[in-house]
Amino acid sequence: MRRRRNSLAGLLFLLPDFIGVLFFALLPFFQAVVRSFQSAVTARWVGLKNYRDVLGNSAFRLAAGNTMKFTAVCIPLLVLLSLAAAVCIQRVRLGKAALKGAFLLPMAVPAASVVLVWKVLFHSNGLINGSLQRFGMEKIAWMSSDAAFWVLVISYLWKNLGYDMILWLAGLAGISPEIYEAARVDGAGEWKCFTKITLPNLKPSLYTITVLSFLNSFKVFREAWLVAGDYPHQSMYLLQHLYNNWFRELSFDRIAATAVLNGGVVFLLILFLQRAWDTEV
Amino acid sequence: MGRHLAGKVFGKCGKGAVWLVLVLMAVIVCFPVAFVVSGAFSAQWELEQNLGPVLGSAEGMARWSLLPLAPAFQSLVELLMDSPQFFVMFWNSVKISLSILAGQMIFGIPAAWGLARFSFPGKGIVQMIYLVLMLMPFQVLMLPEYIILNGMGLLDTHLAVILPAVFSTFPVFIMQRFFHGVPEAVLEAARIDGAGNFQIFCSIGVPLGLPGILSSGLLGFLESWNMIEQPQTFLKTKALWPLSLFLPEIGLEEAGMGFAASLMMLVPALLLFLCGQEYLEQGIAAAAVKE
Amino acid sequence: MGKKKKLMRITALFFAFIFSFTVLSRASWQYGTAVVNVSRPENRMISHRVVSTGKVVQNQELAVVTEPDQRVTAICVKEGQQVKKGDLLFEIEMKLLDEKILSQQQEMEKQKLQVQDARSQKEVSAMQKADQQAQAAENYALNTESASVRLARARRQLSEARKKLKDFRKSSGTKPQDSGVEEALENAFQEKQEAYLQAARELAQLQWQIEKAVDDAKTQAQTGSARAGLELNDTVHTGMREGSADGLLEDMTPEVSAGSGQNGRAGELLPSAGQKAGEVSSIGAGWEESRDQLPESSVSALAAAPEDALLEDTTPELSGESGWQDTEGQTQGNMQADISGIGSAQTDIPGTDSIQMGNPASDNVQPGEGSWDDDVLLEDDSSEGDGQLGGTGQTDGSQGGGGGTEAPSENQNGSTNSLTQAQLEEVEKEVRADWQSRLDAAQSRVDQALQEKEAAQAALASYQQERLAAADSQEAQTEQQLVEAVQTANDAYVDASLAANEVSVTSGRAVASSGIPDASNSSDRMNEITYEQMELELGKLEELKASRGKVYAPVDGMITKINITTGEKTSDTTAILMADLEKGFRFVAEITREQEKYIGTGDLVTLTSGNKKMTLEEQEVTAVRASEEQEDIYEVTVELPADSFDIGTAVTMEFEKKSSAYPCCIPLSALHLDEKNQTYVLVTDEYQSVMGTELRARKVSVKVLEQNESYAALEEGSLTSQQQVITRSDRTVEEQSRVRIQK
Repeated sequence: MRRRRNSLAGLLFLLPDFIGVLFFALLPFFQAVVRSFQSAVTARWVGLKNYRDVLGNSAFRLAAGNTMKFTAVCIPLLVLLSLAAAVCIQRVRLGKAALKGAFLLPMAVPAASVVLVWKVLFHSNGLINGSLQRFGMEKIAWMSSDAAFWVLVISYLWKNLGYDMILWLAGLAGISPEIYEAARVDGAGEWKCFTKITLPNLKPSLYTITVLSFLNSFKVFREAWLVAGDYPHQSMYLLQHLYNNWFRELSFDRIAATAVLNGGVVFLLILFLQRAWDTEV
Repeated sequence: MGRHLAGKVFGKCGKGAVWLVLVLMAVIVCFPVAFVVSGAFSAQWELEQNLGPVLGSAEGMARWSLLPLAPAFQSLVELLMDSPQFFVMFWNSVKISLSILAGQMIFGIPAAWGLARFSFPGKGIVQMIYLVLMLMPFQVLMLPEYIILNGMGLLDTHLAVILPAVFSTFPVFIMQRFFHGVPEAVLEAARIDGAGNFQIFCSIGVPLGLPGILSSGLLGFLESWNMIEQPQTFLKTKALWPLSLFLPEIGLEEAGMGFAASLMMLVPALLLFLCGQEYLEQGIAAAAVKE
Repeated sequence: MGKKKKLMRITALFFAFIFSFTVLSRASWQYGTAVVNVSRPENRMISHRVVSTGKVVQNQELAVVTEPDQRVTAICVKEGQQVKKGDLLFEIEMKLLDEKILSQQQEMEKQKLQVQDARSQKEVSAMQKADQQAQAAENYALNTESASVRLARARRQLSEARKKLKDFRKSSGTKPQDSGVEEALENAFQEKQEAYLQAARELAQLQWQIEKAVDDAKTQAQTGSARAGLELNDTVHTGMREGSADGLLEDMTPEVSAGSGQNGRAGELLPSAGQKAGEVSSIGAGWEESRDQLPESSVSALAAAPEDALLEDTTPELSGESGWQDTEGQTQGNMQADISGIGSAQTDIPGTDSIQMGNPASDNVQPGEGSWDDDVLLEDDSSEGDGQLGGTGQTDGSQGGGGGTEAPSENQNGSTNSLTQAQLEEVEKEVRADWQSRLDAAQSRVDQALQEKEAAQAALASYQQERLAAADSQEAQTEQQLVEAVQTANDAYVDASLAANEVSVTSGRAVASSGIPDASNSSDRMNEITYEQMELELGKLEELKASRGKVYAPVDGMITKINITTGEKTSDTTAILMADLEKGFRFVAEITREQEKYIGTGDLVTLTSGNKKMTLEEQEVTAVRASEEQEDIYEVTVELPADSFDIGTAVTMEFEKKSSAYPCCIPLSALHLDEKNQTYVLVTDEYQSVMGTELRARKVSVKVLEQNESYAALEEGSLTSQQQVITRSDRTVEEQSRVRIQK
């Protein structure tokens, strides 16, 4: 009985939000799905034509490829780095808060603010190249070669390191010290402790962090777009660029199809993650 | 034994080294912010001198000094005194962000509570939906939302930006995880005392979940403070633009003003962030930890 | 949570800071916005107003003059006063006037007498001259007559002696062969002798011609050659020669027209004297004014006659002599008649002297000098005839009817009597030089002929001597005597012939020189003229007297200037200047060059008198002229109708010229000039910015078609009628400045 009432109450709590979500998010999504089977302007039913178009579209392929590449590169990188940082910071006694704050700072910096800096840094005559030159190394054409991809990566890492680090810290904090004590008593070394105790306990955190990192990886588009515009170097070209450009060109059909595909992929990803973590969110 | 010693020595040296590395990294990480600050306080001529190569007007490499050679308020004054556009946009941003925040709180908190503490049929599906939606890039929904908003006549008003953001599922996600961490026992106790669900929610849930709420709020604020795509798509009238769209309008030719503007944009975010840092940490932590 | 509170405070402060700057920046932004007035381009007509103030002036002025050197006793008017016709203007002192009249009359009297004197003098000298001429002619006639008588006698004697000799020879029975030879020799001798005489005669004639030519040239040089061109045409010209017997030898040509200017046609002594006389007299008779010419021609005929007679000596018949005698008598008679004609003619030739003087074809004539100028010039188209010489002119004209047209075509007109002696000698030398060769030739011929004659004579004589020597002494002696007698008679004949030549030359020369005209004397006419002038003067003075020295206004008018002063003497300039009120008024105003573009003749203007009492509309502009005194100023004249404004009123003229309607007109204040001297206007553009709808100024180059002082018409296409043009602003507005429209 309680459960039922609970469920009703639960529903009620959820409802207002859900309605909004329905309206402003689900409905559009369904519309997109529908549109994915229609032509752009006249809304004639064309079946899977759009999907074929999109899948055959070279821009799409590039963008999709890049996005996946980026995800595949960044997320593990970030996760590991932030973990390392968290572990290090945990041990620190002095200036912990300051350090934490420092690392978290990038998160608060608006993308637009940072863009100027990125521009100065990554310009072919920019600061980084300047330093490289001073050390006798070659200039790197950051924005106009494959190095652009790494610009994205660097930008992403910079922004989210602190964030993920905090997450890790929280996760680490969640592990009760007694276990470590016990382990140390058992004669486990640092490394062993780490691998045998820490990591497993962080598994749930990993899930969250991965999800969040994944979420944040989309946000990198913002910086990219601000720095490089609508048509950046190939290696920087993400799905979102594609969306943006198609939107401008009013190719709604392709957007819709891509969106559906995108949604599908995400869905599958989540399912995979869930299964992998054995969690119910 | 040797391992222990090595470990200890390593540990001691390592700690120092680690610390150093961390500090170094921290500095590097903070570099861009410092850059912005110093840039905001530089005179335009100095910026041109230093950043000339980047601006395209000079040869060689760009330079930068931590402390500007000629600290000046020129850029700031120019920004603050002579460009009322900035302020228009600033207050727009404020308005938008606060509205979104309010909305997210009003709608999101109950939703998070409901999802966290109750179970009902379809909950799993809903959660899945929320998750998927959360991970969807904006561009996917951009067009349909545009059409809907246009149909509602909300295009080119602030509501066009506010409403979709209010119903973002991200805050719900964060808060949900936090509410998850509230001990059931407390609630039970309250229930026994005869408190209604809503009452429980209001008097116990919210206060206990405050860190989560605050951190979610902060994150949400930061997110909306930085919004670019939605305003750009849904707002045509320049007078409605938020501050985040101010900077893209400034090229490196007006670097000074750009830095000043960046600084100005940075400060509120930073202030709020500093205010809510603790809660943020707590909130993030809570999100990470599964009960 | 101090830290948190601090942060909160800082945050709050930050927002307050932002807020205040929001306000400040807005204030400064507004401050930086120019406030402007705008207007849209309109469809207008550009009108140009021309306004000018001028005065009403009279159309015509009248000058009142009076006799000079009179004293003004009273001036009865003031400047600016209006007078009616007949009003008294000023008075002249009668006493002085009377004196003047009297003296004038006296002068006239004197002049009259002078005229008379001059006239009588002229007459007398003419008469004297005629007399001289007649005398010379008579002398000539007498001399030649006597010479010819002697010549005739000598001839007779010669023929008698010859006859005697012949008879003797016949009777003495000389051998026909001898007599034949002798006769042949004698004939040869006679021939040679005749030839010699002929040559001598020719030489004499030539000499005479030379002399005459010299005289001719001299006279021509001295006198006018009004008839210079005359020789080209008319038959009349033939007669228009100097009183000198120029044409004595020359007029022998049958073509009377041509050749009259040909001095020295020595060889052309063709027609018979009688013929010539007949011609000339017919010419003379047929020509009323040819009285001057007659003596010449007659004389020439006369001169011709003896020559012809001499010529005819080659023929055995001497009938010509008698004929000549007759003709001589005839011509003589003619001449006498004509001479008297001359005399009578000369009593009445004022002003025709010049015609006599005119000498054709003289190289040395210089125009325009001497007392004969006027007269001579009258024959010339190029000179203006003086009215005073009317009478003379007429005579000249009629004579010069042929002459006048000719005169300019050939030689210079007028004459000079101021040729120097040297020049005359020059003339003489030239003429002589011309003739020198011929003279030499003639002389040589004479010498030759003489030689031949001598030779023949010698031959004859020797033959006769021979014969006589061979013949009977008695008979021979007789024959010898006879032969000698013949020879003597022959010599006598030769002498007589030569003498006759000489006589004719010298007498002819006398006639010629007597014919040289006197210097022309027009003093009588001049005096006459002076007298006439005085008459006119007197007339005027008497008029003035008649009106008792009072001078009245001739018309209704207004006195504009008084040049005389009471008590002072008058001069010959204007005494009083009046504006003729009867002729109406006109309005004159000055306008600038700018204004002149818009107003022209025929435009209708509005005239308003200075005190606004009267306004005339639709007055037509009669003239717009550039002012002579000032540059860039033009005068506008408007003829006023009668009874409009009074003279002297200050009147304002207004004229508005409307141009066609221009669709795109803006206020002039909206027009600006940039550094490149291009006209432009500033329009406001709406412009969306963060601050809302802004207005910015934009520069638009325009072309001005026409403008007046408040509007400018622009070329179409540069502005639309919807655009708003900035007409006024509270500060300088540049391209892209923000502006705000003042409501």
